[in-house]
Amino acid sequence: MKVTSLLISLLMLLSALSVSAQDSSDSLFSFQGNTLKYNMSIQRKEMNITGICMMRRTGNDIIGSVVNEFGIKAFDFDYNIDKKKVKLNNVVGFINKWYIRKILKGDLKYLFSYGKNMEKDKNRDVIIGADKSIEMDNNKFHLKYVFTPLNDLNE
Amino acid sequence: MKKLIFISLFLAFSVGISAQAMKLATNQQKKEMIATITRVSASMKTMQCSFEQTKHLSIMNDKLVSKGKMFYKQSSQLRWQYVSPYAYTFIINGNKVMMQSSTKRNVIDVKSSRLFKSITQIMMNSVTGKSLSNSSDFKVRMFTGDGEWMAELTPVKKEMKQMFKVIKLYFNVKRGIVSTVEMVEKSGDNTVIELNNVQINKPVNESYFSVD
Repeated sequence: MKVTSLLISLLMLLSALSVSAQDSSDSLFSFQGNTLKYNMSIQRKEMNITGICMMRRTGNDIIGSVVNEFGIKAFDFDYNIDKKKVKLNNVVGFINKWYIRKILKGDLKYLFSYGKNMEKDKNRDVIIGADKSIEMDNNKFHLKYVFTPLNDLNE
Repeated sequence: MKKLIFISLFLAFSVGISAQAMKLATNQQKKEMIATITRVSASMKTMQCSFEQTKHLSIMNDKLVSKGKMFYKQSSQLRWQYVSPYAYTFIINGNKVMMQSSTKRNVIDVKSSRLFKSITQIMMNSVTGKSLSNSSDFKVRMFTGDGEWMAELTPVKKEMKQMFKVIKLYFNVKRGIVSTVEMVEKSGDNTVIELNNVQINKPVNESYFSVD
Protein backbone atom coordinates (compact mmCIF):
# COMPACT_ATOMS: atom_id res chain seq x y z
CA MET A 1 0.00 0.00 0.00
CA LYS A 2 2.84 2.32 0.97
CA VAL A 3 4.67 1.55 -2.26
CA THR A 4 1.54 2.28 -4.29
CA SER A 5 1.03 5.66 -2.58
CA LEU A 6 4.68 6.49 -3.13
CA LEU A 7 4.39 5.60 -6.80
CA ILE A 8 1.24 7.69 -7.15
CA SER A 9 2.98 10.64 -5.47
CA LEU A 10 5.98 10.25 -7.74
CA LEU A 11 3.78 10.08 -10.82
CA MET A 12 1.89 13.19 -9.72
CA LEU A 13 5.16 15.01 -9.12
CA LEU A 14 6.53 13.99 -12.51
CA SER A 15 3.31 14.99 -14.19
CA ALA A 16 3.39 18.37 -12.44
CA LEU A 17 6.99 18.89 -13.52
CA SER A 18 6.10 17.93 -17.05
CA VAL A 19 3.22 20.49 -17.17
CA SER A 20 5.50 23.14 -15.74
CA ALA A 21 8.18 22.40 -18.34
CA GLN A 22 5.57 22.48 -21.10
CA ASP A 23 4.25 25.85 -19.87
CA SER A 24 7.72 27.27 -19.93
CA SER A 25 8.45 26.06 -23.46
CA ASP A 26 5.06 27.26 -24.65
CA SER A 27 5.79 30.80 -23.53
CA LEU A 28 6.31 33.40 -26.23
CA PHE A 29 9.36 34.67 -24.39
CA SER A 30 12.27 32.41 -23.54
CA PHE A 31 14.28 34.11 -20.83
CA GLN A 32 16.87 31.53 -19.79
CA GLY A 33 18.23 33.99 -17.25
CA ASN A 34 18.76 36.74 -19.81
CA THR A 35 17.33 40.20 -20.23
CA LEU A 36 15.33 40.22 -23.45
CA LYS A 37 15.43 43.33 -25.58
CA TYR A 38 12.93 44.07 -28.34
CA ASN A 39 12.15 46.82 -30.76
CA MET A 40 8.52 47.41 -29.91
CA SER A 41 5.79 49.17 -31.78
CA ILE A 42 2.16 49.80 -31.00
CA GLN A 43 0.06 50.65 -34.01
CA ARG A 44 -3.49 51.88 -34.27
CA LYS A 45 -4.74 52.99 -37.68
CA GLU A 46 -2.36 55.81 -38.68
CA MET A 47 -0.81 56.09 -35.22
CA ASN A 48 2.48 54.31 -34.64
CA ILE A 49 4.45 54.43 -31.42
CA THR A 50 7.88 52.85 -31.40
CA GLY A 51 10.33 52.12 -28.62
CA ILE A 52 12.41 49.54 -26.86
CA CYS A 53 11.05 46.91 -24.49
CA MET A 54 13.40 45.25 -22.02
CA MET A 55 12.23 42.41 -19.78
CA ARG A 56 13.58 39.68 -17.58
CA ARG A 57 12.22 36.93 -15.40
CA THR A 58 12.83 37.08 -11.69
CA GLY A 59 11.28 34.25 -9.68
CA ASN A 60 7.59 34.17 -10.50
CA ASP A 61 7.56 37.60 -12.07
CA ILE A 62 8.35 38.99 -15.48
CA ILE A 63 9.46 42.57 -15.01
CA GLY A 64 10.16 45.05 -17.74
CA SER A 65 10.33 48.55 -19.01
CA VAL A 66 9.24 50.27 -22.20
CA VAL A 67 11.20 53.35 -23.24
CA ASN A 68 11.22 55.36 -26.43
CA GLU A 69 14.35 55.53 -28.59
CA PHE A 70 15.54 58.63 -26.70
CA GLY A 71 15.38 56.72 -23.43
CA ILE A 72 12.24 58.39 -22.10
CA LYS A 73 10.26 55.84 -20.14
CA ALA A 74 6.69 55.03 -21.14
CA PHE A 75 6.02 52.56 -18.31
CA ASP A 76 7.38 49.70 -16.20
CA PHE A 77 5.47 46.44 -15.87
CA ASP A 78 5.44 43.47 -13.55
CA TYR A 79 3.60 40.28 -14.50
CA ASN A 80 3.08 37.70 -11.78
CA ILE A 81 3.05 34.29 -13.44
CA ASP A 82 1.15 32.50 -10.65
CA LYS A 83 -1.54 35.13 -10.21
CA LYS A 84 -1.59 36.04 -13.93
CA LYS A 85 -1.71 39.66 -12.92
CA VAL A 86 -0.05 42.69 -14.52
CA LYS A 87 0.98 45.78 -12.60
CA LEU A 88 1.97 48.97 -14.41
CA ASN A 89 4.28 51.46 -12.71
CA ASN A 90 5.82 54.81 -13.56
CA VAL A 91 3.43 55.37 -16.46
CA VAL A 92 4.32 58.57 -18.27
CA GLY A 93 1.74 61.31 -17.83
CA PHE A 94 0.19 61.51 -21.27
CA ILE A 95 -0.70 57.79 -21.38
CA ASN A 96 -1.52 57.53 -17.70
CA LYS A 97 -5.28 57.23 -18.23
CA TRP A 98 -7.33 54.45 -16.65
CA TYR A 99 -8.68 53.16 -19.99
CA ILE A 100 -5.21 53.03 -21.57
CA ARG A 101 -3.79 51.26 -18.51
CA LYS A 102 -6.69 48.76 -18.63
CA ILE A 103 -6.09 47.87 -22.28
CA LEU A 104 -2.31 47.64 -21.79
CA LYS A 105 -2.69 45.40 -18.76
CA GLY A 106 -5.09 43.09 -20.59
CA ASP A 107 -2.86 42.83 -23.64
CA LEU A 108 0.33 42.23 -21.63
CA LYS A 109 -1.44 39.60 -19.55
CA TYR A 110 -2.50 37.79 -22.73
CA LEU A 111 1.03 37.95 -24.18
CA PHE A 112 2.76 36.66 -21.07
CA SER A 113 0.25 33.89 -20.37
CA TYR A 114 0.08 32.82 -24.00
CA GLY A 115 0.56 29.09 -24.50
CA LYS A 116 -0.84 26.02 -26.16
CA ASN A 117 -3.10 25.21 -23.24
CA MET A 118 -4.70 28.62 -22.90
CA GLU A 119 -8.24 29.45 -23.87
CA LYS A 120 -8.60 31.11 -27.27
CA ASP A 121 -9.42 34.80 -27.07
CA LYS A 122 -11.68 35.84 -29.94
CA ASN A 123 -10.43 39.44 -29.69
CA ARG A 124 -6.73 38.69 -29.81
CA ASP A 125 -4.44 36.93 -32.28
CA VAL A 126 -0.76 36.14 -31.95
CA ILE A 127 1.62 35.52 -34.84
CA ILE A 128 5.20 34.39 -34.33
CA GLY A 129 7.55 35.34 -37.17
CA ALA A 130 10.48 33.38 -38.56
CA ASP A 131 12.77 36.07 -37.12
CA LYS A 132 11.30 35.33 -33.66
CA SER A 133 9.26 38.51 -33.79
CA ILE A 134 5.94 38.45 -31.98
CA GLU A 135 2.88 40.21 -33.28
CA MET A 136 -0.32 40.53 -31.33
CA ASP A 137 -3.51 42.02 -32.65
CA ASN A 138 -6.13 43.37 -30.29
CA ASN A 139 -9.07 43.25 -32.69
CA LYS A 140 -11.47 44.94 -30.31
CA PHE A 141 -9.44 48.14 -30.07
CA HIS A 142 -7.67 47.77 -33.44
CA LEU A 143 -4.25 47.70 -31.81
CA LYS A 144 -1.23 45.86 -33.13
CA TYR A 145 1.78 45.15 -30.93
CA VAL A 146 5.00 44.07 -32.62
CA PHE A 147 8.06 42.85 -30.70
CA THR A 148 11.16 42.33 -32.83
CA PRO A 149 14.28 40.96 -31.12
CA LEU A 150 16.89 43.65 -30.83
CA ASN A 151 20.19 42.57 -32.32
CA ASP A 152 23.14 44.92 -32.30
CA LEU A 153 23.37 46.28 -35.84
CA ASN A 154 27.14 46.61 -35.46
CA GLU A 155 27.60 42.94 -34.67
CA MET B 1 37.89 39.88 -2.71
CA LYS B 2 39.20 42.52 -0.30
CA LYS B 3 40.98 44.14 -3.21
CA LEU B 4 37.73 44.23 -5.19
CA ILE B 5 35.85 45.84 -2.29
CA PHE B 6 38.64 48.38 -1.89
CA ILE B 7 38.60 49.25 -5.60
CA SER B 8 34.77 49.54 -5.57
CA LEU B 9 34.88 51.80 -2.52
CA PHE B 10 37.62 53.88 -4.09
CA LEU B 11 35.62 54.27 -7.31
CA ALA B 12 32.45 55.16 -5.42
CA PHE B 13 34.41 57.66 -3.35
CA SER B 14 35.98 59.16 -6.48
CA VAL B 15 32.57 59.55 -8.09
CA GLY B 16 31.35 61.16 -4.87
CA ILE B 17 34.21 63.62 -4.92
CA SER B 18 33.56 64.42 -8.56
CA ALA B 19 29.86 65.11 -7.83
CA GLN B 20 30.70 67.11 -4.73
CA ALA B 21 33.28 69.16 -6.60
CA MET B 22 30.51 70.99 -8.45
CA LYS B 23 29.73 74.19 -6.59
CA LEU B 24 26.62 76.26 -6.96
CA ALA B 25 27.61 79.37 -8.95
CA THR B 26 27.09 82.84 -7.55
CA ASN B 27 24.66 85.12 -9.38
CA GLN B 28 27.57 86.92 -11.01
CA GLN B 29 29.19 83.65 -12.12
CA LYS B 30 25.84 82.41 -13.40
CA LYS B 31 25.40 85.53 -15.54
CA GLU B 32 28.91 85.19 -16.98
CA MET B 33 28.53 81.48 -17.66
CA ILE B 34 25.20 81.91 -19.43
CA ALA B 35 26.60 84.86 -21.42
CA THR B 36 29.56 82.70 -22.58
CA ILE B 37 27.35 79.77 -23.53
CA THR B 38 24.89 82.04 -25.35
CA ARG B 39 27.74 83.70 -27.25
CA VAL B 40 29.22 80.36 -28.32
CA SER B 41 25.77 79.09 -29.24
CA ALA B 42 25.07 82.18 -31.37
CA SER B 43 28.33 81.72 -33.28
CA MET B 44 27.61 78.04 -33.84
CA LYS B 45 26.41 77.77 -37.43
CA THR B 46 26.74 74.00 -37.53
CA MET B 47 27.63 71.21 -35.14
CA GLN B 48 28.19 67.51 -35.69
CA CYS B 49 29.25 64.72 -33.40
CA SER B 50 28.78 61.10 -32.45
CA PHE B 51 26.97 60.24 -29.25
CA GLU B 52 26.54 57.43 -26.79
CA GLN B 53 23.29 57.20 -24.88
CA THR B 54 23.06 55.10 -21.73
CA LYS B 55 19.67 54.44 -20.23
CA HIS B 56 19.79 53.16 -16.66
CA LEU B 57 16.73 51.16 -15.63
CA SER B 58 16.54 50.48 -11.91
CA ILE B 59 13.72 47.92 -12.20
CA MET B 60 15.82 45.92 -14.67
CA ASN B 61 19.08 46.43 -12.82
CA ASP B 62 20.44 46.90 -16.31
CA LYS B 63 21.23 49.53 -18.89
CA LEU B 64 20.60 50.08 -22.57
CA VAL B 65 23.45 51.64 -24.54
CA SER B 66 22.64 53.21 -27.89
CA LYS B 67 25.01 54.95 -30.29
CA GLY B 68 24.47 57.41 -33.06
CA LYS B 69 25.32 60.61 -34.88
CA MET B 70 24.02 64.13 -34.53
CA PHE B 71 24.02 67.03 -36.98
CA TYR B 72 22.81 70.54 -36.21
CA LYS B 73 22.46 73.58 -38.41
CA GLN B 74 21.43 76.98 -37.17
CA SER B 75 18.78 77.87 -36.39
CA SER B 76 16.24 75.06 -36.54
CA GLN B 77 17.66 71.97 -38.21
CA LEU B 78 18.66 68.88 -36.29
CA ARG B 79 19.33 65.29 -37.29
CA TRP B 80 19.51 62.80 -34.42
CA GLN B 81 20.30 59.35 -35.77
CA TYR B 82 20.67 56.10 -33.84
CA VAL B 83 22.76 53.49 -35.59
CA SER B 84 23.14 50.86 -32.89
CA PRO B 85 21.59 48.67 -31.53
CA TYR B 86 18.58 50.00 -33.42
CA ALA B 87 18.11 52.21 -36.44
CA TYR B 88 16.04 55.30 -35.76
CA THR B 89 16.28 58.78 -37.21
CA PHE B 90 14.67 61.91 -35.88
CA ILE B 91 14.91 65.08 -37.97
CA ILE B 92 13.72 68.53 -37.02
CA ASN B 93 13.50 71.00 -39.87
CA GLY B 94 11.68 74.17 -38.86
CA ASN B 95 8.18 73.17 -37.88
CA LYS B 96 8.41 69.71 -39.43
CA VAL B 97 9.57 66.60 -37.64
CA MET B 98 10.38 63.32 -39.38
CA MET B 99 10.71 60.07 -37.43
CA GLN B 100 11.95 57.01 -39.22
CA SER B 101 12.19 53.60 -37.62
CA SER B 102 13.11 50.37 -39.39
CA THR B 103 9.49 49.87 -40.33
CA LYS B 104 7.75 53.21 -40.51
CA ARG B 105 8.29 56.83 -41.46
CA ASN B 106 6.21 59.67 -40.04
CA VAL B 107 6.27 63.38 -40.73
CA ILE B 108 4.37 65.65 -38.41
CA ASP B 109 3.91 69.35 -37.91
CA VAL B 110 5.09 70.31 -34.43
CA LYS B 111 2.51 73.08 -34.32
CA SER B 112 -0.16 70.38 -34.04
CA SER B 113 1.22 69.07 -30.75
CA ARG B 114 2.27 71.13 -27.75
CA LEU B 115 4.16 68.17 -26.33
CA PHE B 116 6.10 67.62 -29.51
CA LYS B 117 6.91 71.29 -29.71
CA SER B 118 8.35 71.15 -26.21
CA ILE B 119 10.38 68.01 -26.96
CA THR B 120 11.87 69.41 -30.14
CA GLN B 121 12.70 72.68 -28.39
CA ILE B 122 14.43 70.80 -25.57
CA MET B 123 16.47 68.74 -28.00
CA MET B 124 17.60 71.74 -30.01
CA ASN B 125 18.26 73.91 -27.01
CA SER B 126 20.01 71.22 -24.99
CA VAL B 127 22.44 70.50 -27.79
CA THR B 128 23.29 74.16 -28.24
CA GLY B 129 22.82 75.31 -24.65
CA LYS B 130 20.10 77.78 -25.57
CA SER B 131 17.72 76.45 -22.92
CA LEU B 132 19.64 78.42 -20.30
CA SER B 133 18.43 81.75 -21.58
CA ASN B 134 14.87 80.53 -22.06
CA SER B 135 13.75 80.75 -18.45
CA SER B 136 10.05 80.24 -19.15
CA ASP B 137 10.56 76.48 -19.63
CA PHE B 138 12.99 75.75 -16.80
CA LYS B 139 14.26 76.96 -13.50
CA VAL B 140 18.02 77.12 -14.07
CA ARG B 141 20.80 76.64 -11.53
CA MET B 142 24.45 76.79 -12.58
CA PHE B 143 27.31 74.87 -11.01
CA THR B 144 31.04 75.17 -11.50
CA GLY B 145 33.56 72.36 -11.36
CA ASP B 146 37.03 71.41 -12.48
CA GLY B 147 37.09 72.23 -16.20
CA GLU B 148 33.34 71.74 -16.32
CA TRP B 149 30.16 73.69 -15.83
CA MET B 150 26.82 72.15 -15.10
CA ALA B 151 23.42 73.65 -15.77
CA GLU B 152 20.62 72.07 -13.77
CA LEU B 153 17.29 72.58 -15.49
CA THR B 154 14.15 71.92 -13.50
CA PRO B 155 11.04 71.85 -15.72
CA VAL B 156 8.37 74.42 -14.98
CA LYS B 157 5.70 73.35 -17.47
CA LYS B 158 3.31 70.46 -16.83
CA GLU B 159 4.20 68.48 -19.97
CA MET B 160 7.88 68.48 -19.15
CA LYS B 161 7.33 67.79 -15.45
CA GLN B 162 5.51 64.59 -16.44
CA MET B 163 8.65 63.31 -18.13
CA PHE B 164 11.61 64.81 -16.32
CA LYS B 165 12.50 65.63 -12.78
CA VAL B 166 15.61 67.47 -13.87
CA ILE B 167 17.87 67.81 -16.90
CA LYS B 168 21.58 68.39 -16.39
CA LEU B 169 23.75 69.88 -19.11
CA TYR B 170 27.50 69.54 -18.66
CA PHE B 171 29.65 72.03 -20.54
CA ASN B 172 33.28 71.93 -21.54
CA VAL B 173 34.52 75.23 -20.05
CA LYS B 174 37.24 75.78 -22.65
CA ARG B 175 34.90 75.39 -25.61
CA GLY B 176 31.66 76.58 -24.00
CA ILE B 177 29.76 73.69 -25.57
CA VAL B 178 27.67 70.84 -24.20
CA SER B 179 29.61 67.63 -23.58
CA THR B 180 27.03 65.54 -21.69
CA VAL B 181 23.27 65.64 -21.19
CA GLU B 182 21.68 63.82 -18.27
CA MET B 183 17.92 63.46 -18.06
CA VAL B 184 16.53 62.31 -14.73
CA GLU B 185 12.98 60.99 -14.63
CA LYS B 186 10.46 61.18 -11.81
CA SER B 187 11.10 57.47 -11.10
CA GLY B 188 14.79 58.24 -10.56
CA ASP B 189 15.94 56.42 -13.70
CA ASN B 190 18.20 58.48 -15.88
CA THR B 191 19.53 58.75 -19.42
CA VAL B 192 23.04 60.00 -20.01
CA ILE B 193 24.03 61.20 -23.48
CA GLU B 194 27.71 61.84 -24.10
CA LEU B 195 28.61 63.88 -27.15
CA ASN B 196 31.94 62.86 -28.69
CA ASN B 197 34.17 64.20 -31.49
CA VAL B 198 32.24 67.47 -31.54
CA GLN B 199 32.97 69.54 -34.64
CA ILE B 200 31.77 73.10 -34.86
CA ASN B 201 31.12 75.11 -38.04
CA LYS B 202 32.17 72.37 -40.44
CA PRO B 203 29.98 72.05 -43.56
CA VAL B 204 26.95 69.80 -43.10
CA ASN B 205 25.12 68.31 -46.06
CA GLU B 206 21.67 69.95 -46.37
CA SER B 207 20.17 66.60 -47.38
CA TYR B 208 20.69 65.34 -43.80
CA PHE B 209 17.76 67.53 -42.76
CA SER B 210 15.37 66.48 -45.49
CA VAL B 211 11.97 65.52 -44.14
CA ASP B 212 10.25 64.90 -47.49
